[in-house]
Amino acid sequence: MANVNLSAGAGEDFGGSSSGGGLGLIFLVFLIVVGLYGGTFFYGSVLDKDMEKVQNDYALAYSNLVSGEAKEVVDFANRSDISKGLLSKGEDTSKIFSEIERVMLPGIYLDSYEYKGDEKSVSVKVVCNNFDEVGKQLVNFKSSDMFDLVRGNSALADVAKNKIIFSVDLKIK
Amino acid sequence: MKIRLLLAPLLIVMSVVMAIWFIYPAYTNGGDSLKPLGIKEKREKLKEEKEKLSKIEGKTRRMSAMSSQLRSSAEDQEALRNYLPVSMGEESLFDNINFNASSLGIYVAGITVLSPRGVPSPAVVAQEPAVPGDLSSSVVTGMPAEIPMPKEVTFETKIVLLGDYPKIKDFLGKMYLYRRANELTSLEVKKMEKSEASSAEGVLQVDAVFKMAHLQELDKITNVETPVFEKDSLDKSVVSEIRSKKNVEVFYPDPVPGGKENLFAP
Repeated sequence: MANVNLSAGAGEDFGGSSSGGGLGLIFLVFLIVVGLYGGTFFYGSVLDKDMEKVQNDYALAYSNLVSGEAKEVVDFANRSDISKGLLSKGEDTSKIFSEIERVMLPGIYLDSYEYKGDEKSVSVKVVCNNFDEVGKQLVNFKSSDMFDLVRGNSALADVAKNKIIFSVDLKIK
Repeated sequence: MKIRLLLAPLLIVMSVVMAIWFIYPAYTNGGDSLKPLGIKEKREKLKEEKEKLSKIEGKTRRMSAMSSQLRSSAEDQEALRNYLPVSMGEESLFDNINFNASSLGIYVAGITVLSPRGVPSPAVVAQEPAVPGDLSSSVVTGMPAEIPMPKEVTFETKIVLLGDYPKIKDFLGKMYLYRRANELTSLEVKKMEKSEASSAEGVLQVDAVFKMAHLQELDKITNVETPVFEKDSLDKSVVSEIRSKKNVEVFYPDPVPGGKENLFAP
C-alpha cells in the first residue's frame, strides 16, 4: 500500500497525451488537404501558361505556313495532278492514219474520214472499184490490231463514177 | 477542453468538405462541358495542342523543303504552266496553230476559240487559327476537311484547214505533240470540190475540234489540311513526262507597239 499513488493527476495526464496525438494527426491531414487545394490552383495556372504558349506557337506556325510560299507549292502539286490526267487522254490521229494506210488496198481510196474522240471511233467512206474489193478491204481492217470492232455498213454503187462507196465504222482499242 | 473536443470532428468535416467540394472539382469537371476544365482535362487538352503544334511544325518543315525544290527549278514550273496555263491564252493558240499549219504549207481557213465550260472554283472557307488563352472551347469551327482546289476549265478550239493529205497528217501529229494540253475530240476530213476555193486536185478540207484546258492559280492558302504538306518532296515526274512526250513548243506573242488614226482605213 505504500507504493499506491493516490494522486488524481496521473490518470488525467495519461488520457491527454493520446488525444493530443490524434488531434495532431487530424490536423496534419487537414493541412495536407489544404495544401492539395492550393496545389491544384498552382498547377492549374502552370497548365494555363503552358497552354497559352503552345497556342501562341501554333498560331505563329500556322500564320507562317499559310503566308509563305505554300501557295506556289500547293498550286504546283495541283497543276501536276491534273496534268497527269490530261497527258493520258487523246489519240494521236496521225497514227490512226498510218495504220489505215498500212491496211489499205492499192487502187482504192477514202472519200471521207470522221473521228469522234469521246467514242474512240473512226467512220470512213471508202471508194472501191468493185464489191470484191469491198470484202477484201473489210478483211484487212479486221486484221488490224488497232481496231477491236470493225463494222461494214452500206456499200452503194455510184453509177456516174462507176465506183462502189462503202461505209465502215472502226472502233479503236 | 471543449474546444479540443470539437476541433477534431470539425477538422475532419472541413477536410472532407474541401476534398469533395473543392479539390475534386478542381481536378476534373467529370466531362460536363458547362463546367470549367479541371486539371485532368487541361492536361489532356495540353497534350492535344502539343500534338497539333508538332504536326504543323512538321508541315512547315516539309513545305520549306518543297519550296526550296521549286525555287531551284523555275523552268519546271514554267513548263507545267505552259502545258496547263493559268488563263486561256487564246492569243498563243491563234499564233501557234497558224504557225504550225503554215510552216507545213497548210492554209488556215479559220480558228475559233469557244467560251470555256468547266467547274467554277469552289469557295474558299477561312479557318481561324488557335486563339491564345481560350482553354474551354474548341479551337477550330466549321472547316472543310481539305483545301478546296481549283478545277481545270475546258474549252474548245475549232480549226478549219485546207491542204493535201501528207501535210494534214503531219499537222495532226504536231498537234498531238504540242506542249500544251489538248485532246482531239472530233475530226472531219473530206475532199474539196474543184469549183470551191482551190482548184488543185487532192486538196482536203479538215474540220477539227480540240478540247483544251486551263487552270486558274490558287488564290491563297487559308487551310493547312492538304495531302501536299504530308509529302517530303514535290513530284516532278509529270514535268519529265511532258518534256519527253510533247516536243512542239508553245510560244507566246509579245505585244507590238500600235498607233492608228483611222480605225476603219487599212
